[in-house]
Amino acid sequence: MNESKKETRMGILQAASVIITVMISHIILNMPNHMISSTGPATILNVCYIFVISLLVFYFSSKVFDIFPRKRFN
Amino acid sequence: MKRVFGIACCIYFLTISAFIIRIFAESLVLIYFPDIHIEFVILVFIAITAITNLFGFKSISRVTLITLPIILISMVIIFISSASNFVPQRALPLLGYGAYDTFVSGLGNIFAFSSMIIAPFLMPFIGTGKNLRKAGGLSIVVYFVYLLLGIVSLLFLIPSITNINNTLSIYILSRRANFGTFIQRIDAVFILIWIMSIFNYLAITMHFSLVTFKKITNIKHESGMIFCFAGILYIISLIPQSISDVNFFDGTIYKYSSIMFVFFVTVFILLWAYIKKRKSLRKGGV
Repeated sequence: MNESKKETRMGILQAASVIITVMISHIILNMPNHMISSTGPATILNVCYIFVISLLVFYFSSKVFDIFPRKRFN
Repeated sequence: MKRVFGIACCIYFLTISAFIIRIFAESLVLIYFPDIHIEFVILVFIAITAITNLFGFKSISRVTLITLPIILISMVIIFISSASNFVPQRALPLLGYGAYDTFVSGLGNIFAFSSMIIAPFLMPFIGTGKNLRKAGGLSIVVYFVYLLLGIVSLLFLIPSITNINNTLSIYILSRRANFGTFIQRIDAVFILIWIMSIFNYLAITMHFSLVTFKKITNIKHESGMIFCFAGILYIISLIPQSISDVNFFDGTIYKYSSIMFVFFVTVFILLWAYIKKRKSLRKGGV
């Protein structure tokens, strides 16, 4: 299993920076505004609650990837 | 199935990107460029997105790695410097409009985390599921912290938030931030940083729509499609006739389509693929 490190290989930090950039752009737009409009002062509790659910959804979805063979983009 | 889901992904990324360009361009025109037609502002964004995609994903991801700390630090500075005007009593009552509205109908706010759909697209670059979990988990935690900071700041600063307000919420925070008497109107610096962030976002989403298109159509190089996709982005971003159409998209279409696509369709397809793969592995084992 001596795969050469291709140029498109990414580290964890680099991948995290790509994901964070995509997600954080929504904070710059009106995301907090929309959330506060729907749940009012309880938005703080609501965010903690949906954070836990999202983390669980992501964790179980990513577990599914372990079963598939790895293919690389060129 | 692959083609249907691929086309759905392309449409999702392109539509979201186009409306994000439109929302941001509307705010820029409102704040700084009242005499310029919005078509030109959108054209600049799309032209730069197309040019960055010509350089490839390696360049985009490296630029993102450099600019992200600047973006994150700028947001922390805004939150901290506007803290002098906070009124913590505005967070009461804690349950807001009631437990049902907070935990049941408030579940609709999960669309705030719908951008994590980008994580599985990084699987070919990142290698293993374990690394993907680490990168994705770290991203979700960082995003949660910043989202919470943004919500706390807005909640404590502004007496009543309504959907009528068309300005970027973080711009309101930056205008209320206090940096002393010497530094005034520093919001222009923050706008520049946010423009960088939006460019990064657009470059990444356009890249993934191109790659998805490449996979479903078996073309050799996606670079030939860059300007076609840029044209499609431009057309979609010009579809809303007014700011109320943009707000309707932002508050309704984006919310429910993200929830459907990210948390139902994608999860369903993953589960289905998992069950099929397990069956084929068991048959191969027997």
